[in-house]
Amino acid sequence: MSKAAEIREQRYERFREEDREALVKKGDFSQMRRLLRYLRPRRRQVATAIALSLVIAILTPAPMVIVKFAIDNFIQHHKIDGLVFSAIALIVSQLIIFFLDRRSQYLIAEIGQFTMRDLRLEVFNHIQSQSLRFFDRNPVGRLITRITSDVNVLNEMFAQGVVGIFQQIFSLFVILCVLLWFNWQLTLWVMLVLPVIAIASWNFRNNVFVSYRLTRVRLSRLNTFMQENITGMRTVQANGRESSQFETFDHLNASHRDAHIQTVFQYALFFPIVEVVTTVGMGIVLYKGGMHYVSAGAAAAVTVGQLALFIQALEKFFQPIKDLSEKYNVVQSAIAASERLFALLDSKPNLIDPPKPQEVKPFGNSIQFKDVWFAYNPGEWVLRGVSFTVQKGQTIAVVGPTGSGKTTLMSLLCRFYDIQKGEILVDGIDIREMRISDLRSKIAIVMQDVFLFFGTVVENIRLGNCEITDERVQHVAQQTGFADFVERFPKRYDTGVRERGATLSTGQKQLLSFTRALAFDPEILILDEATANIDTESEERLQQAVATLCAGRTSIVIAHRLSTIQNADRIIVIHHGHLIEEGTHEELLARDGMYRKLYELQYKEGLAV
Amino acid sequence: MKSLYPLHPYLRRHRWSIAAGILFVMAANVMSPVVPVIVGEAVNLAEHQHIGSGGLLDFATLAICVSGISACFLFLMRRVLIDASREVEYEFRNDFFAKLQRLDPTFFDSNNTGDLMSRATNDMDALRMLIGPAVMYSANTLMSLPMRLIWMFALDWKLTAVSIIPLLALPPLVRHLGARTHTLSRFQQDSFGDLTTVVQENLAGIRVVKAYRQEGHEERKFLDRNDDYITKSLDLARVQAIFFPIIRFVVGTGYAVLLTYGGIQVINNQLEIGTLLSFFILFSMLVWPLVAAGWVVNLIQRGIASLDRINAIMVWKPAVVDAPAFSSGAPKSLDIEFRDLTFKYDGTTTPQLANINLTVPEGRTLGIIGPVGSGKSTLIHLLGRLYPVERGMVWVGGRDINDWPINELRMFVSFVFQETFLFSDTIEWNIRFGATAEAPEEKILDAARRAQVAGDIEQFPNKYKTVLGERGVNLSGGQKQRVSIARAIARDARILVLDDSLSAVDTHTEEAILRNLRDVMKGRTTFLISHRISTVSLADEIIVLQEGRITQRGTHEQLVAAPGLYQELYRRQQTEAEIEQLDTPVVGGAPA
Repeated sequence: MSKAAEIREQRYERFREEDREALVKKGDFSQMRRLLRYLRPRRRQVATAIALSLVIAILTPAPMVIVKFAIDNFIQHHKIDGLVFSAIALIVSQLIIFFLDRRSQYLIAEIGQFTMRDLRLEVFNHIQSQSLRFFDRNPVGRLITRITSDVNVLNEMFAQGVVGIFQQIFSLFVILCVLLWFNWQLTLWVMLVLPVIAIASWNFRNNVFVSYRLTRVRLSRLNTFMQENITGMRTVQANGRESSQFETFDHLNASHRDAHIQTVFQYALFFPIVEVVTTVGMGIVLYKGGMHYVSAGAAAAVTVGQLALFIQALEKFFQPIKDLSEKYNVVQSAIAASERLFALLDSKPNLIDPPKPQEVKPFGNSIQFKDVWFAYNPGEWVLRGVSFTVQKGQTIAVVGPTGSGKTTLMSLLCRFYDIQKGEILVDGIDIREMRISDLRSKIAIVMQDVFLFFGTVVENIRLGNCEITDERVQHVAQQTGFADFVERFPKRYDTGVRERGATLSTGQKQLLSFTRALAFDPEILILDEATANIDTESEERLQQAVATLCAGRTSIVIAHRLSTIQNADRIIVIHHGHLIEEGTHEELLARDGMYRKLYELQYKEGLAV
Repeated sequence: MKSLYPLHPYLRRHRWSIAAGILFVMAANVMSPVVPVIVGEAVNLAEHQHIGSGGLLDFATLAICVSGISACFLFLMRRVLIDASREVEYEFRNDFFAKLQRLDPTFFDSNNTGDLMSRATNDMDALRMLIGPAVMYSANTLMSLPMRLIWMFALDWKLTAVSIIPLLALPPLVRHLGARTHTLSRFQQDSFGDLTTVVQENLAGIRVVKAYRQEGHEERKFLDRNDDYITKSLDLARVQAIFFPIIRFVVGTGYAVLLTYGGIQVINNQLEIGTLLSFFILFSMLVWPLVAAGWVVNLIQRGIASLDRINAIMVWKPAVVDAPAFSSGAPKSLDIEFRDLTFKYDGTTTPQLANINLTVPEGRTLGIIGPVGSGKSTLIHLLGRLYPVERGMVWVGGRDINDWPINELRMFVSFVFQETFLFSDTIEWNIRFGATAEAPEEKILDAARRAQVAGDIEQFPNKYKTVLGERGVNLSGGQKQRVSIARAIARDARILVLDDSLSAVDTHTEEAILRNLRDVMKGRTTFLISHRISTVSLADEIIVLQEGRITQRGTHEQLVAAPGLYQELYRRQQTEAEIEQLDTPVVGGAPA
C-alpha cells in the first residue's frame, strides 16, 4: 500500500469506528418521558391541541357515515330530499373540520416553536457554562449541530409527533368502533390482515432506525469537516491541498449518501406492501360482504352503503398505521437527537459554583498559589507544585519558555479549569469556594488569540457591559493608543468588525483587546503574551498605557519585554511546570541561579551581535 | 421556473434514471385505478344477482393481483427516483465544497462561517427535499390525476365533470398560498442563519465570553435571535396551517356534489349503484395526489428559496482567477519582482501598499519589518495571489503573476501565516499537510525537529498520532506555530514565507529554529516578516515598511548604521534583548 493510501485508510478507519459506536447504542424510550417534560410549561396549549384532535378524530368518519346513510336510506329508497339534506350535512361537517384543523395545526406549530426555544436556550446555556476542558474536546461544528439541527429534529416530533400520534390512535379507534357498530362480523374478517401490517411495520421501523442513525452520525461528521475547512481554507489553498481535502469530503459525502439510500430502500419496500395489504382487505370485504348479499338477497345483512363505508374506511383505517410507522421514525430520530442532547445536558459542568459560595469583598489582600498541580490530560502534568503569592497592587512578571505552563497558570486563576492538587486563594478564600462570576468580575485577561465578535469596534470594547459609556471607551482607547487607529477608520468607533477581522490587523486587534481590558477596569489584570504580536512602535505607546493600567492594580504579566520585567515587583521563572526561581530582578541577579546565568549568557551574546 | 435552472445539469446527468422512474410511475398509475372499477363491477353484478360466491372470489383475486403489480412499480419508482435524488444531493454537496475551495480570502472575509454553514446544512436539506420527494410526488401526481380522471370520464363523463368543479378552485389557491410560503420561508431561513451565526460566534469566542462574564449578554443575544426566528416561523406556520385543511375542505365539497348528483342519477336509473361506489373510491384516489400537489408546492417553494441561497455562492466570481490562456511550465528562475506596486483592498480608499519597487532574486532572503498595519502581510499575500493585483505589478520568474496558474504558483510557495490553523486530525497528518502525500516518515520527523517541536510531540503518549482538538487547542500558541512551521518545512517549496510566525515562540526557541532554518533557507527564496530585528537580521536584504511604503532598505549592517526606524528599533531591542533572553532555560544547549 502506498503511503498516501495507508494514511487515508487510517483516517477512514477512525470514521468507521465512530459509525460502529453509534450503531451499538439502542434507542431508549425512557428518553421520551424526559422529552415530554419540556411540554409542561405549555400544558394548557397541549391540552387544547389534544382536545381539538379528539374532536377532529371523532369527526373524521362523519363524511363516510353520512355517505352510508345517504346510499342505504335515501338513494336506495328514492328520497331526493334526504339526499340533498345529507349533502348539506357533508359540507357542514367538512367546514367544521376545516376550522378545527387549521386551529390545531397552528397551535401545534406554536407549541413546537416555543418548546424548541426553551430547549435551545437550555442547551446553549449549558454549553456556555462548561469549562474550557469541554471545549477542548468538542469541535465547534458538533456543538452547533446540537443547538440547531438536533433541536429542529425534536421540533418535528413535538409538532407532528406527540399530538399527531394521539390523533392517529384515536381516529383509528373511532373508525374501528364505527365499523364494529355497523357490521361486527365483517369487521373481524377484515382484521385478519392486521398481523401482516404489524409485522411489516415492525421490520420497517427496526431497519429504518439503524440506517437513520447512521445517516445522522455521518451527516454530523460531514458538517464538522466542512466547517473546519471553511475556517482553515486559506491554509488548505496555500498548501495546494484542495484535491486531497476534497477526496476526504467526497468519502464522507458518499458514505452519508449510502446510509441515506439504505433508508430509502426501507421506505420503498414498506409503502407498496401497505398498499397491497389494503387491497387484500378490500378483497375480503368484497368477497365476504358480497357473499352475504348474494346468498340472502334483499334481506342481506350487508347493504351497499355498508360496503361503501367499509371500502372507504379501509383506506382511512390503514392510513393511521402507515402514518404511525412514519411517525415512529420521526420519534426515533427525535430520540436519537434527544439522546445526544441529553448526553450533553447530563455532562455535569465540572466547574460549578459551590453550594454555599463565600461572600466576596473587593480584592484587598493577595493572590496565593499553594502547591498547585495541574494536567490537561491525566498524568501529563503541566504544573507541578507551583506556589507563589501576589500582594495587592503588585505586578508580577512570569517568564519561562513556551509550553512551560505560563498560559495555564493564567487560565487557572480565572478558573477556566480546576486544579488537581493544591489550592489557589484570593484574599485567603479558595477560588472554588467562590461564585465563578464573582471571581471573574475581579479579573480582566488579555489573551494570545484575540477574538472579535461580529459588530462594531465600540461593541467589541464594551461587549455587553452597558455601564461602559462611549466616553469611557474613547477615553480608554486614548490611553492604549488604539484611538489613533480608530480615528483613521471610516466610521470611527462604529466601524464594523468582521469575524476573521479583515478590517483590523493583528496588532490593531491586540490593541483593541487591551482597550477592552482597560475599559472593564479590573482589580486584577492578566496579560498573556499579548505584547508578542505588537510591533515596537505600537508597543511603546502600549507600554505607557499598561504602566498606568498596572499602577495600583494587581497584575500578572507573561512578559517578554524589558520594560515590563523592570517595572515588575517580582519575577517568577517557570520551567517544565516547576517554579524554579522567584524574586526581584536584582535579587535574582544577586542569587547565583538560573536567572543570573541566563542574564550573563545573554549579555555576552548581545555584545557579539 | 428560472430559479430551478441551476439544477439542470444535475438532472440531465441522471436523465435516464428519471426517465425510468417516470416510466414506473406511469405503469403504477395505469394499474391502480383499475381496482375500484373491478370492485364497482362486482357490486353491480351482485346487486342483479348475476354472480355467485366463486365469481366474487375471482373479482377479489383480480383486484389483489392488479394492486400487487402496481405495488411493484411503486417500489421501483421510489428506488429509482429517490436514489437518483440522493446522487444529485451528493454531487451538489461535492460541487458546493469544491466551489468553496476555489474562492479566495475576499469571499471568506465577507461571508462568515455561520452563514456558510447554514447554507451547507439547512438549505442543503431543503434542496434535498426539492430534488427527492418533490420530484417524485410531482411525477406521481402528474401521472395519477389524468389516469384516474380518464377512468372516471369513461364510466360517466357528466358525473365526473360536475363533481370535479369544486376541485378547480385548487390551482389558484395553491398558487397564492405557495407564493406566500416562498417569501415567508426565506425570511425564516435567513433568521435561522443569524441564529446559527450567534451560536457559532459564541462558541468560537468562548474564552472571551467567560473571561468577561458575557454569558448573560450572550444569552440575550441568543434569545433575541430565537424570538425573531419564532416570529418568522409562526408567520410561515399561519400560512401552512391553512394549506392542507383547505384542500381537504374543497375535496369534501366535491364529495357532496358527487353524492347528490350521482344519487339522483341512481334514483333515475341512469347510473348503477356499483358504479357510484367505483366513483367514490376513484374520487378518494384523487385526494392524495392533490394533497401531495399542495405539499410539493411547499417543498418546491422552500427548495427554491434554498437553491437561491446556495446558488448565490455557486455563482460567486472569485476575485482571483486563472487567465484564460495562461502560460504553463516552470520557469528556470523564480526571481520575484514588485514593480511600482500599489494595492487597495476592496471598499477602502487609502492604498494598503504604494509604489513598492523590489527585486528578490531566487535563493535570497528578504526581511520585512514595520509597524502594525504597514502592509507587511498584504505584500506577501499578493505574492500568493490571495488577493487580485493589477497586471504588471508583481512578477515571478519574469512572468506577470496574473499569468501564473494559481495552483502552479502556490506549489512553489510555502506559507506560514500569522494566524496559525491546524486541523482536528493527528499531528503527523497536520505536518504532512504541507508535503506531498507520499512524503516518507523521516521527512515529517525531520521537519518537526527543525521546527523545534519534535521534543514536545515526543512527550505526548500518542506522539505523532496525537489527535488535535478542533482548533488545536490542546497545544500552546507557540506549539501551534511550530507545528505550522514544520508543515511549511515539510512542504519543501522553493519560496518560503514566514509571516511573523515566531511571535508566540520564546527567543531561545526562536534562535534554535532560525539556526535550523538557515539550512532550510539555503537555495530557497525566503521572506521573513517579523517585529524582531533578530529575525530579520538574517536576511540578505531588509526593507522597512511604513504606511504602505518602503522607507528604508539595505542589509542589517547598513540599516543599523543609518538613522531611521530600523536603527531605533535595533537600539531599543538591543537593550531589551538582555532581558528577553532571561526566560530561556539553559538546558537544551543554548548558544555560547
